[in-house]
Amino acid sequence: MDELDQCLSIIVVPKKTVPHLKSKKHILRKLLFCSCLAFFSLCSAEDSTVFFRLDKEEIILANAQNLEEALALIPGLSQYTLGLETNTHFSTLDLSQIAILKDGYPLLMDQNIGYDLQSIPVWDLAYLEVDFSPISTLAKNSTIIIRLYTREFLDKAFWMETGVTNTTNNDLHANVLLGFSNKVHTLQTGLGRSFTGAVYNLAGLRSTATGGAERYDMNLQYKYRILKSMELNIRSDNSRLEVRNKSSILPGRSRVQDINQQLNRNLLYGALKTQVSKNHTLTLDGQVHRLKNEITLIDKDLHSGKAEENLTNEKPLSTGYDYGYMRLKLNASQKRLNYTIGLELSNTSDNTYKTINGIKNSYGDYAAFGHIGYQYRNTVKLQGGTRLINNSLTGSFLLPSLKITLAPQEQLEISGAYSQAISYPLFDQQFYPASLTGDVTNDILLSPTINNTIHVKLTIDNALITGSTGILHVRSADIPRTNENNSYSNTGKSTSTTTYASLNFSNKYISIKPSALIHGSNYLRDTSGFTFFHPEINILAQAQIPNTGLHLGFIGRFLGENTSSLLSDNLIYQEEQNGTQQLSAYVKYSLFADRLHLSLSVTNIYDERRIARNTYLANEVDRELIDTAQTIVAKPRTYAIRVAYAIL
Amino acid sequence: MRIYTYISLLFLLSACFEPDEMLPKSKINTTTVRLNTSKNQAAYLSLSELSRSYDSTGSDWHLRFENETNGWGIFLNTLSRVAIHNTKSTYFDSVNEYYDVQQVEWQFDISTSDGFTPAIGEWGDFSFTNPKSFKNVYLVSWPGELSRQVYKLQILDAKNGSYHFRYGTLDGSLDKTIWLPKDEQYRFGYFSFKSNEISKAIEPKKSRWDVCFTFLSDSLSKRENLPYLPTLEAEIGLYQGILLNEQLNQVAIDTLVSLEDTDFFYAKNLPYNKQKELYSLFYTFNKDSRKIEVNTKLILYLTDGSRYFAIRASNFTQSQDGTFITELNVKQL
Repeated sequence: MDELDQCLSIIVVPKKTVPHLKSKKHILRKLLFCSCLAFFSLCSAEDSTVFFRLDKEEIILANAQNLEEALALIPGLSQYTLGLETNTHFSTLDLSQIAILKDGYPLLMDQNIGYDLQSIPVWDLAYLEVDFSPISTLAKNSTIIIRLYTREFLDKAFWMETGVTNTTNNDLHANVLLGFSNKVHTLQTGLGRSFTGAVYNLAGLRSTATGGAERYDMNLQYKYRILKSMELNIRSDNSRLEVRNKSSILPGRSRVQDINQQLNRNLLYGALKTQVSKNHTLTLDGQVHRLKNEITLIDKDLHSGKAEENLTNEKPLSTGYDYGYMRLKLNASQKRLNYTIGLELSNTSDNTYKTINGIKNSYGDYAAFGHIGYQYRNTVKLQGGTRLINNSLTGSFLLPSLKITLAPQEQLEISGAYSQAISYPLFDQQFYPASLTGDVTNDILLSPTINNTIHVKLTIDNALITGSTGILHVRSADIPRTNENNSYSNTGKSTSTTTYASLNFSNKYISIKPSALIHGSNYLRDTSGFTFFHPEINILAQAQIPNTGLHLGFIGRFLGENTSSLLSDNLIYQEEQNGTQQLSAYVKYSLFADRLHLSLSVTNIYDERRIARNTYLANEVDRELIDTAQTIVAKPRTYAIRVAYAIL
Repeated sequence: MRIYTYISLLFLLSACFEPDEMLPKSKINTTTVRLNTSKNQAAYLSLSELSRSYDSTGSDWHLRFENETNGWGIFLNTLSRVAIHNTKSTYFDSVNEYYDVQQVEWQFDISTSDGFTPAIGEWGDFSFTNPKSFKNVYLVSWPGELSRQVYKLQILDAKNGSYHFRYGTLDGSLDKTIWLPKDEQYRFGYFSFKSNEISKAIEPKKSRWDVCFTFLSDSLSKRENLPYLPTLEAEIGLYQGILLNEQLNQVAIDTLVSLEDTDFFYAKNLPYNKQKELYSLFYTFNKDSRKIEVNTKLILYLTDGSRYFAIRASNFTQSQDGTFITELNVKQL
């Protein structure tokens, strides 16, 4: 897909890759209207076969304050917190295999470092989208892509948006977005402070299930229109997150052992774009990204108040990484043919353990990519491409992708896509020896996991309702697994098949988006035939009551029992998590010509916060329960009030 | 605009981390350890739960075997006057009823080369994973009803977590070979020649105790300034000592800070050494009053790296019937 299409997809909710329904005049008008914005937009040349879209209003509805909480709303994704770690996954794919992009740039480096998603604010987002197996210029982690989009630059001398949310859980989130523009220079800046109260294991106890968190954010966006055909974009995201996990009081003493986390993230993006011909755009863009995640174990005497850092190794590792990314890309966009070619360089290095045993903890990769799309009349569109990627540690990979889209009738579209993507092994699996992790011996030459994906989709689209159904089949190979020498090797295989159906019914007053998915997951295709099925139903609905300024909305997720399996010491374990249901609702009242918004929301209406996660040891004929843990799936039922004011 | 600033400041400064509640000072717990030279050889304490204390269930044993994975020490029941002699012979049958036991120089312990732990000495080469026995034949003696009983003992082997030994009477009327497996639930395994069997339940499981107050024997010359209990021949010293559970065996001793004032932060910065046993730690011998007294300034710190305990002896009394009572203060840090 070219820049122009991508821009269209931002301005108009993307529904089809083949613009069959639109008249030529309509298309031309839109092309004209968007040509400037499209040309200067930061959007990368990505396919936009969107499975799901979460709008800002829905993020507000569910009171999601960071990316971790926003991902918990997305159909297909499951999330739970156990200990200090939050796991988010889509069937057999964990977050290291799901690309997350913000305005087209990698948000979590190569996704192999265990990024804490609590540190990423969502108050600056306009919406986010989920794509299944898109034809993408990205190769890493692109089996599923979650794209985050900030709001477009506004050509206004001054505008402002501010919002404050206060909840019954002692949370307080405040942010302000300011914009200035003189047509040549445009500056948008956002400041935020977010405090999330702790969730305690039991009322009256000191120990927390999830620690209290305080985050400060400062985001900047600057656009400089150098020439009519040349533009410089600079963006910077900065956050500082502090989390305090409290322990229980040690028996017989007045002492506690708390774990504090302080995370600093700084991103700087830059893009220089120029139109080199009527149909060609050349873009040079890059990113510098630094993450520092300090974990400290604190001994504290609650009698004297004295506290000291405990320097033993009995705590999660502190980590920190630097990431550099640069891309040169040429886009060509013509009536029927469009293509993208380019080069990409990236480097990831450890800034906490720069070398271990004389080995530098870093790797780099460079890639050459090319994608082409051809549309024959309004009924067939072919897209395909390949990417040659070379990793400094593990060598080269050639990754093809192909997609065909047919529109046999005006309201019907069928597409089939095949793509291959890789995801690098976790950084600690590759670089950290057992003396650091206390676990398994690392292997610096671990290969990436390779995901082969087939996605078939049928879309029906008419004026009132859009519906789509499809099957996403992912076969993963070379998954790092512990071998008998207690080191990692690329022997794991898994398969996941997700069948989904979704509807989008919307008119001026009502929007209803139900979806249903059934995941069939085989985590251990290399050793066992266990395939587990896990259903889920999601519904997002919003309604506007005419002439009252009142909006109503709710989001419901109903997740079935979810079972996964894992191999350890040649034994197969099954982890079975009970089903859960999460329902949030809100009412919003708009005043003063839509400038002031007052909203009252309630999240987790069923108050389901902990569910059992049973671990079984599988044997030849049966399985034996060996452990039961309580996982956190949501915060307690919380009422929130939000006041937002905008000067636009 | 000013009102917006105030509102912004209000929201930025509110909703913060909750401060911790203050708690009262850690309590100092007190317990009493009661030992008797004939009736109760050992008292076991769980420091985190002082109500869980156990007394030794019996003294009817002669040999005590280390159960620790890499420990192969064999000890004597010195309090029951068990003595030993190394014949240096490796031929079991050559030590018989004609052996001149009257001329034997009995020892109540034979120190190992590293000078630690009174035992039957170095009975093998411990540089191997499974020690290679020198196969020396020992004579073991203990007081009988009429005269001292004498048995012969030969350590044959030690492997697969078991001791393998042969024992018998000098006249050959009894000749037995036995495997004594290491049970890692217990600190020691016990054997009695009298009943010809492994003695059970002499001590509680390791998971139930942290320290054991007992009598430990050692040479007089090494500890001539320390009080001793002349329960045996004059040349043997038998001291009040502490056996440490291997799960809590890092030790520091301090006299600078009182038990009332000490805390975790002070304790964790002390220099710790791994020990298996401590001799006459809390006690001093007042030469003027000819009495054993406790040093109340001395604090014993024990840790396993995560748990810390401070222990002080606050009082000591001794009665004519061989009963020794020590009052202990224990603070968990």
